[in-house]
Amino acid sequence: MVQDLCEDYIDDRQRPQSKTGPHTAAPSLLPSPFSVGVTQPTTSVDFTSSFPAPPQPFLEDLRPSNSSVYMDMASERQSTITSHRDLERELMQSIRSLDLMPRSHAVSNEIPSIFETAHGSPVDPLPQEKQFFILSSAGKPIYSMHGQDELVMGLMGIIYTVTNYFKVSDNKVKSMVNSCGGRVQQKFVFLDKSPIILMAMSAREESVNDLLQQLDFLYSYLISTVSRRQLTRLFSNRDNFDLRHFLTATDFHNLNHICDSIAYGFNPDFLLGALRCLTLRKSTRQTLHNIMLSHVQHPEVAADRGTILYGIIVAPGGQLCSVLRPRGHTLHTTDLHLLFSLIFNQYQGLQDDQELWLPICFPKFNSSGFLHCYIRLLPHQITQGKTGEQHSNLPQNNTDASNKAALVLISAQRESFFAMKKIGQGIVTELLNKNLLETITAASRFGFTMADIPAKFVHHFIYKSKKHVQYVMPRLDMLNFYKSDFDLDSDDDNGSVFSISDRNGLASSGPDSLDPHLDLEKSKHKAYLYKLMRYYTHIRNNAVDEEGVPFNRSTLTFVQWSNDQAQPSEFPQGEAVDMLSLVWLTPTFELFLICNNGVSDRNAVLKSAKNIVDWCRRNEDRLFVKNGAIF
Amino acid sequence: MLQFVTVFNPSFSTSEDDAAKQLLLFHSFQENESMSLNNKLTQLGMVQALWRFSGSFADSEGIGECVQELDNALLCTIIVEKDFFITIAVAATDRETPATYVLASLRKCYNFFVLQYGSWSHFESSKELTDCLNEVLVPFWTEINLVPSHLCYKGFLSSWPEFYKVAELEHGSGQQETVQSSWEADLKEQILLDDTSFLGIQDVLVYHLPKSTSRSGYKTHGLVRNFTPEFDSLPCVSNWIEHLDTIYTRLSSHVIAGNVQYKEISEEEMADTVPENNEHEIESTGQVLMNHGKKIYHNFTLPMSFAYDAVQEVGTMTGVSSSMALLTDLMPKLPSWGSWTGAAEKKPKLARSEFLISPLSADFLPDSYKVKKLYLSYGGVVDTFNCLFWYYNEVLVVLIFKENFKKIWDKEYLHDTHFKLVHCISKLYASHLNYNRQSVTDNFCYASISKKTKQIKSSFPLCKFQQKPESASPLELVVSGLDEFLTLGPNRKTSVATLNPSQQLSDEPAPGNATWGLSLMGSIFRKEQGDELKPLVDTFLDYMPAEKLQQLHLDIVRFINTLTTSKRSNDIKEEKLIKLNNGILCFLCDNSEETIVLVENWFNKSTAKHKMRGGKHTLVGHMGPEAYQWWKKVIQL
Repeated sequence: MVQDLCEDYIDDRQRPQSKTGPHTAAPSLLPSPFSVGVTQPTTSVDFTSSFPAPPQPFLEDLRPSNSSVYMDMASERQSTITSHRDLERELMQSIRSLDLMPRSHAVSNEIPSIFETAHGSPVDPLPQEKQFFILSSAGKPIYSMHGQDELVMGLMGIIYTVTNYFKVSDNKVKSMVNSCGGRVQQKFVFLDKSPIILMAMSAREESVNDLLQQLDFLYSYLISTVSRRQLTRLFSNRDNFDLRHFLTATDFHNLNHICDSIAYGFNPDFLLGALRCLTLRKSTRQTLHNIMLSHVQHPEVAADRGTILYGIIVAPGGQLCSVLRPRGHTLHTTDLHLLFSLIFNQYQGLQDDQELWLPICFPKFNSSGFLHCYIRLLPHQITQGKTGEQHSNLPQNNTDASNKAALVLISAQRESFFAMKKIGQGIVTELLNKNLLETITAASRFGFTMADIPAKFVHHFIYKSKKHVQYVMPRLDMLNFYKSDFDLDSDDDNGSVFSISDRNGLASSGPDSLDPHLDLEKSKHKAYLYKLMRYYTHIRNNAVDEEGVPFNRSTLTFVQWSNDQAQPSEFPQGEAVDMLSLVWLTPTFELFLICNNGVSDRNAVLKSAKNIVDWCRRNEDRLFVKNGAIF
Repeated sequence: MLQFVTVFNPSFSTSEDDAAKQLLLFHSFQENESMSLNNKLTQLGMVQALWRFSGSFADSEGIGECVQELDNALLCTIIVEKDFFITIAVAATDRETPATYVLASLRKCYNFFVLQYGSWSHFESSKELTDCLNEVLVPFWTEINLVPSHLCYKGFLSSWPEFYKVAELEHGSGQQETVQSSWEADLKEQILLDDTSFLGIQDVLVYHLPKSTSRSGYKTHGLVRNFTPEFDSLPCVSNWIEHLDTIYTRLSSHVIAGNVQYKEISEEEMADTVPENNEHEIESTGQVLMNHGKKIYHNFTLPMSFAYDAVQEVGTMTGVSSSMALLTDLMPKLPSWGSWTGAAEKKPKLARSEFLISPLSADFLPDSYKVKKLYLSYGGVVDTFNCLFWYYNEVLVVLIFKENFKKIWDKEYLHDTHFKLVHCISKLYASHLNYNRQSVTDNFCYASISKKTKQIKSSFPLCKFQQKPESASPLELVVSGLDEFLTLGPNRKTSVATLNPSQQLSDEPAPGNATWGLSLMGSIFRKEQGDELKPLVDTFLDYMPAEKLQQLHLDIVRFINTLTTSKRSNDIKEEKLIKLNNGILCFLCDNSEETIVLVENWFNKSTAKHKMRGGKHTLVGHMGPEAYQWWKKVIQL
């Protein structure tokens, strides 16, 4: 029952959908290329697209829970027969109305929480779940994620002593794993990048390799601001140089942000070592490519050719839209992560007409030199008129700028600012003229949902294309039953490295927030994303070992969690847990999939997984930046 | 492969000055490398530093294992009795050996020590403890250093070093009903509840230790039965016996007495060992063997004095002054191999049974041959017990007596017990171990690990000791002390450890009549009889070449690691189905009561085709029908 997507057909439908469309039931919230023309999911996962939103959130919830405990009812046979759909929906509704689930429960379109929670009391000097240390090889503290200086100092002293001891015998500490009765309790991973030593501690499920990747990212961040050459020079003069004096407050802010988002955010980027890609129509992406290419190759700037190395358009949440690159050269994923992290964390305050000319060291490109980046945020262009209608339910007060896409042009020459500015201006103008910014904004907000894919029972998935080193996933809705009047902006990039967050990001109940209700929703959403991340970390471990090596060339693993009858439940009023997830590694793709609670039919899930893979492959042109604009 | 092993207890040192006091043992496996005390102390200081370091992030209470991975080594530490640290450093060249295996061996090594010498904190002086550690830990790890595969013979089951294997014998043989009382009832009645020993006997452990020649597979290997509840040391004893049996290929008096170890054969000897099966050459090589003494690896570890004592004893016994010649004369004359095999072929299969360790052994043998003292814990109370070992073909019986029970020194009583045991165990053979029935080869393998009873049931074959052909030097088992002297004789080639000196046994089972009261378990010439008796095969994995099997075990270790790192909360159970494209299909289930591992080959068409109906909604339902049937049976229990 795979629907073939016809590009032409969709392009025809580029006009805003009329209310008399084929599926009036669904609020036409989704201008995503997939939402049109695809039949509705037979057993909907995302109820917003199948049911009209409840008129009064929180007052009258006919369908209090989106958790599809009853999804099993819809058997495969039924689902294929379209005429049964209405019947099914009625059935579903009647079940829902009988639903006697506790009210507190109603807010979850959720998957149950199955993981141990940290039991460190808040007074603990060092939180027990996660910690990052950065120190110099001489034992001088540079950064620590938590903890008072005095306390941390002593611990860093130990690291210093130990690493030094082993250095004498030409040895290095790589990791330490403590376990108790066959259960792993803590993991410590050390990364010696003399003159800097980094350490990560985790009491979670991350593998040694995962932690190593995180450390590498922290290190890369340092290098991106200082550059390896400078770092070596600083320390070669004086062993006990205090790098803290050299780093700026912004650097520490950024480090905090990176650590927090690694620890509590939703960052498949690190886990997968891949970039998230923005879903765009093939034609749209091609237009983006062409625009960039044409401006670079424009006769006026032809003299300056060679000054530009790379060009990137990136949507909020670090979603890649388009890449301009010389033939045979690509940028390393980590470098791009760093760049995006800077843009979306540090420089979102830029006005539309402001430009940045910034030296950044790309550690994987060349760790001892700087490249120069022309960064310009792309304004929200919600043109009134034809599209205004469509976006009427979007917030009008777009003061929160966290959602701006950006154009980045990278050059190796410090003095080429004006050349870059010229190219950049040209690109921005053309993007505006062609209304492409609007498309990007919309795409980054809406992406696609599970409803776009004929895959039953699936709560959420991540699909990584190995060839492109990019991944895609359905939009993460913010409990969107009740939030039609809330800011959609905070959707995806909450907790992502590529977003602004304050230090207390996890429970952001700062005094400046106006709407406590919104705050509650936001923190719930964050908790949900964090949970989702733990699921993904967990299931990935079921196909990849501690060293980051896959079990086999291709591996298919199902993991199922359910209540242990023999064990008294910790949460007596919690819903029954019956979670199934899947990880599928092949030489060409990686698929991580989490099912709805209550789904236990492996075959159906496998079928869904196949459908997803099928769908992703078929839509490869839309989902991934394949070659980019090559010059 | 190994770098060093060390034991230390930081609480023994109170100030900086007496830091050396915490060091109990430091043994380096690197030849001609001498480390200063200071270096040793720093080395273990580092282990400690990292340990303390980790303690500041979380409660280190209860953390018992710590693996520190260095660039060129793996430091595995276990903490026992609260503050004793045992650390072993494994060179990183051997990345194939997962830390799980090393940790398991450390745990075993400690457990076996405690079993034989009591807990470490009960030693009065640290000097005494050090001596003991030298005698036990060093040879244990030296052997592993020589034969690294000893680390991994248990495969993924190493993940549960404190659990023990039980034998699953097929019940319900047709004959059983005709037997009036079961062997268990008889054993209870005649031995445990017998008037004479009722007060003195604590427990009887019955093990079934089949050899691959008669039955490949691991299913029926392990503990068959014990009789006293709340036997806390049962896992420990069982693992110890299994360890000895596997490492030394079969149990003998010497093995249990703890007098056997592997050593490297020197190069000259290697030349001799090639035509080993040609008995005529042996005589001519006798002289070469004189060099033995020099090549013994760790002669300091075992009491050499024992051998001299033996000579003395023999001297007084025979009334002749002690001399080497006499000793070798006393050695039972070994008939040539040819006549042995001939005899075995003609004779009907006779059950061999005898005491391995009992006071019936020759007077001049040290006490460890007469009775094995073990520190056992019943219901939380640790005490020493006198243990006797007896076997009947492939069944080993351990008789555990209270220490004050003197009757075990009475030969009459022992003979009596022997006949009673023969009666009971032969019954066991008749009812449970008659291999005449057609047995099916499973096309899946299972392991179920019960967290409550600490029992392991498994049909996964072990990674048996495989001597690599390219390995530098072949190994030979030697009985410390004894062999060195015996080899001086002109016609000795084979070690006492590998041959049974009392050769009459198989002809006429007459316990105690044997010259020395030494014995070797199992029937020696089963190989020749193998023609008529095809070995039974438990599972499809038993056909697998050893190397592949080892790889499979490593794969499963990685799967198990996903369970040990899982942070799911206590009230959730986790199941998984892992399918690799090399044919492995593995189902894992972990809940509060047990862990279950099922493996099959999904290339196998017969399993792939007939999917079970009804099992669709569980992951295990997607294993083959046989595996699913097994699962259903287990769940019902």
